[in-house]
Formats: sequence, C-alpha cells, structure tokens
Amino acid sequence: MLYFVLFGSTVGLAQPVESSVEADSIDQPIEKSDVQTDGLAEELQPTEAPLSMLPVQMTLANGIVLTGSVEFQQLLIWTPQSTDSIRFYMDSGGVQEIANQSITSIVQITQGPEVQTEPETVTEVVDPVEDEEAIVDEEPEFAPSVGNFSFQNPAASRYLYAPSSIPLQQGQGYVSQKLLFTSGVLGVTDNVTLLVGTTVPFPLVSIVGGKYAKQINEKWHVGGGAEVFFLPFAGAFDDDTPTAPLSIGFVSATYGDLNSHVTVATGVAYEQVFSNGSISHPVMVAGHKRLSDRLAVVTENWLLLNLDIMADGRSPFTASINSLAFRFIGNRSESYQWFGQSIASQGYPRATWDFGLVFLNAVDSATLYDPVLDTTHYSLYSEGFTFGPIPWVDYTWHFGPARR
Amino acid sequence: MRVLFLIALLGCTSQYSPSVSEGVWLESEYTSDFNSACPAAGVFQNSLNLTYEFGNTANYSDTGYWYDSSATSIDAVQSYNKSLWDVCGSSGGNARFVCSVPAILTQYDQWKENFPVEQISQEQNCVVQLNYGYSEGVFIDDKTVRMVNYMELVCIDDPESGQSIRTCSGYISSLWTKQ
Repeated sequence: MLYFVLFGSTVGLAQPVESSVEADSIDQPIEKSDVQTDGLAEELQPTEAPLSMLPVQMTLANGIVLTGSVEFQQLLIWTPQSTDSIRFYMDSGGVQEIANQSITSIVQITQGPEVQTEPETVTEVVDPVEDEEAIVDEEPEFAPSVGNFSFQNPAASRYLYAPSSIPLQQGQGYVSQKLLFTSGVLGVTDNVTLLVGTTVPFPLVSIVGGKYAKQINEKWHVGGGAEVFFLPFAGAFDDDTPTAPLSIGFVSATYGDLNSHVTVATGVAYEQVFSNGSISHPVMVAGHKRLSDRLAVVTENWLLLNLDIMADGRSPFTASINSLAFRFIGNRSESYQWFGQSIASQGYPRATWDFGLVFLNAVDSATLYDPVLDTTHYSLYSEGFTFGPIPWVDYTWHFGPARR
Repeated sequence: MRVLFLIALLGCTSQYSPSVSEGVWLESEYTSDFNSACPAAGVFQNSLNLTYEFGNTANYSDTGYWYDSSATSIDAVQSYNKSLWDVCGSSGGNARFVCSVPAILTQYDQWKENFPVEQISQEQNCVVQLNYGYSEGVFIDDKTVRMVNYMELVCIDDPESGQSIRTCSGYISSLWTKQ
C-alpha cells in the first residue's frame, strides 16, 4: 500500500493532513489514500484555523509505545474511561484513529519539540510496510517516566540488596559497590537477569545468582531466582569449611510502578555456617518511593524464620534486618554506552547513590548440652539483640540503554 | 518500619526474668554416667524427692564462681541447698546459669547412703570431698529447669598428702519442676 503523508519540519509534529481514517485501532491496516483531498485534510485548508497539536507518548494495551501528537482539543476531553477514539498523528507521518480501549496511557512530552501549527507542503511517499515496522519497533530514545518525573527510574529493579520483581531489560545492567562488596548485574533478556559479586579487595565471599521476572499486568510483577554464596578460599584454611555455605532460592511479587513499588519475597535458605546444614525461610518486604526526579526513599526488611524449631514450642524468629535509605537517582543513556561516561546524554549522572542505615536484630535462646542424653535443651525464653545502626553506602553505575 | 519489625519480634518472644527461679523445685528424671570406679547408676531415683531453692534472685546475675583450690568439704557444699544463687549465676543474664559446685551435691546427705565413695569412706575411714565439679542449668520455661551436674568426688585417707583411695567422676542430668 502507498499513502502520502505531509510531514512537519520536526519529528513528532506531523500535521493532520491524513485522510480517510477509518481504522478503529492501530492493529488494523493503514488506510490507503491518495494525496489528501478530503476528510481531515479538508479541515486544514489554509483558510481554516490550524489545529493545536501536543506531542505525546501513547502506550497501547499491547505494550507498544508510540510517540507523536494529538489534537489539543481531544486531549482536553479525553479520559481513560472515554469511549471515543483518539486521532493520533505519528512521528513517522501516519495518522490513526485509535480506540480508547486500546490505550493504556497518554503522557505529554513536556520537553519535546515545539508545537507546530502550520502544516508543511512537503509530500513524501512512504512504503507502508516499512512504516508499520517502524511503528512496532519504535523505541523512544528516552522514554518519559510514569508520573510527573522527567525520566525513567533506572534503579527500579533493586532495593538496597534484594531485587524487586521488576526486571532489567535486555542490555541494561549496573555495577554496584556496596561497602566492601562489588557486584555486577546484567539483563541478558527482558526477563532474565544475572548477578555476580565478590568482596573487595580480597574475594573472601563471592556470589553468583540469577533472577527471572516478568510483568503480569499493569501493576504487578512476579519473579523468582537463586543466589549462591561462595567462599573461594574455604579449603585453604579449614577442610571443614563448606565452599558454598549459603544458598537461597526465592520467589517475589512486586506491586506498583517504576517509581513507587512494594515487593514481598520469600524462599528457602540453606546455610552451613552456623550449623551442619539448616534450612530457614527468609521473608523480605521492601519498598521504593520516588520523591522527585533525583530522590527516592528505599527500605528493605528481612525476617529470618526457622520453622523447624516450632515443633519444640520455640519461636521461629531468628533474626531480622531492617534498613532505610535515601537514593539519589541517576539515569541511563538512551543508547548503549557500556563504559567511559559518567554523565548520561540527558545531562544526569549515570550513577545512583544510596545512603542509609541498617539495623540487625537477632533473637537468641539459651541452650544446654546434656552429655548424658547427648542432646541439647533449648530454653523457650528468648532475648533480642540489636546491632546498629550500621551505615549503608552504595554507589551504582548504570550501563545499557534507558528503559524502552 | 524497623519499629514494626522489632515489635513483631518482641511480641513473639518471651524474655527470661530471674523471678522465675523463686519457689521450690523438685528434681526427677535422673540419668547418669559415671566412671568404672563409681557404679552409681542406681543411686539417683525419683523417690529421693530432692528439692532445691535458689534464694535471693538479686544474686542471679553474679558469675557464681566459688573457687576453692583444694578439695572442698561436702558439708560446705550442702550449706547452699536453699540458696543456689550464692553459688550459681548467669553471666549472660539469660535463662542459662552455671554453678561452681554440683547442685546435686547440696543434697548429698539425701542420697549418699548407696553412693560408692561414701561406702568406701565408711569402710576405710577416709573423708569424702569434692575434688572438682560444677552444674549447668537452663530454665526451659517458668516451671521447668534442665540440669547437668559434673563431679569428681574423692575419699582422702591422708589429709597431709591429700591422697585419695577412690575417685568417682561422672555426669548426672535431671529435670527440675517447680512445685
């Protein structure tokens, strides 16, 4: 199919000169037309007042994100519950009636190019096949954020240590320095993230992990994964020290968006540090609230439960870790830039800083070993101990493109 | 958030208080393991009805150490049968305590009749003394204590040389129940 489009001089400001728009949704074929002679084009005769267009980003229900323009008058009366359709002028030059039920959100591009009201008379023949591909594959260079923030949160996939269920996208990653622990994380696909890390300067404790996560609807993400802690030099000092003293498998669910979200995670931890091999069940509740473009507050809270001891009438609570931190949010570049730049192309630092406090609360019960019965007696009385506040500092450098 | 978790933790745990030790505790469920020179397995029976009292709870957090470099008189040990906190204490201030003498020895007169070292003493006129020993206990709850005693009893026939003609050593574990 061929059709003609009149382009504005600036990308994203194509003027409404398309005609014969009959399709109800973007999924329907683009209407063939000749040079505009009727319909909307007729409304834009030079004698008539030009339409005011606003550059917007439109997210469709199927996940496709479009950038283009919408008539100001239509935006004024549009609501998510509207039954009408929106006339959308794509940057690529097409104009499309999009049914409201196909639209998830419309966000005004506040820093976009100026609104243009005068159509230009440049006529260009566009291969419709290429144009459709352009629509589907279109990846905004710098996707606007949800809410009133000027850029996407690059650190939505993690809290202080624990991950959220919001996955990194393919090619995104970061290198993080948490006190004396360095880790690197890479999204190998849009759903699979891999993690490696170790203590510095000496790799006394190392970690390998992975996470699978996906979005199941507008507000919910779910995920699962595993992390294994290694002692690379375990055999060098003591043959009895296990090489992998701690392994954790977990599942998680996150509610919210990139800026405000809460995650609940649980799983199984197998440790051989303090015992010959015991299983505990950590429960993690974490939250992230973005306060401004550059500032967020983050909390991450762990509860370690040993359900096995409940049979003795003892409390299953073993320990808890609580934290509260402020996050100074950086940004990602709009393109792949692996190393070498500390400032994203939008002018923001590519690094994110976390400053906070961590509290460790442990519960201990008195015990008595009985050599005659060869058993250990446990008191039902417990004592709580709190260590902290422990300062928490995290520097994370983001690489890979901004969220699509 | 931290406060909420702390409340949750504390709400699900119970903290030991030394006032739990107040009252009279009856000992039962004996098990023992002595050396071959001291066949004392049948000595400790529930029928002994041994009872204990901790006494002044203000002393519970003492270390409880009660040193005597030489062998200790059994009579001296028995003087603490109603004031265990004078020889016992909890260095951590928790539900576990340690006694610098075997608690069961504070009731020696109640069970000595069939004890091998005492029989040797009567036969050969030697003096039974505590060479070394201790007790460890833990309050399981407000009505139950688990105890482990270790003791080395000797029978001295020559006070000047301190030579023992029989040394009896072993463990006794038991359950104390508040009356």
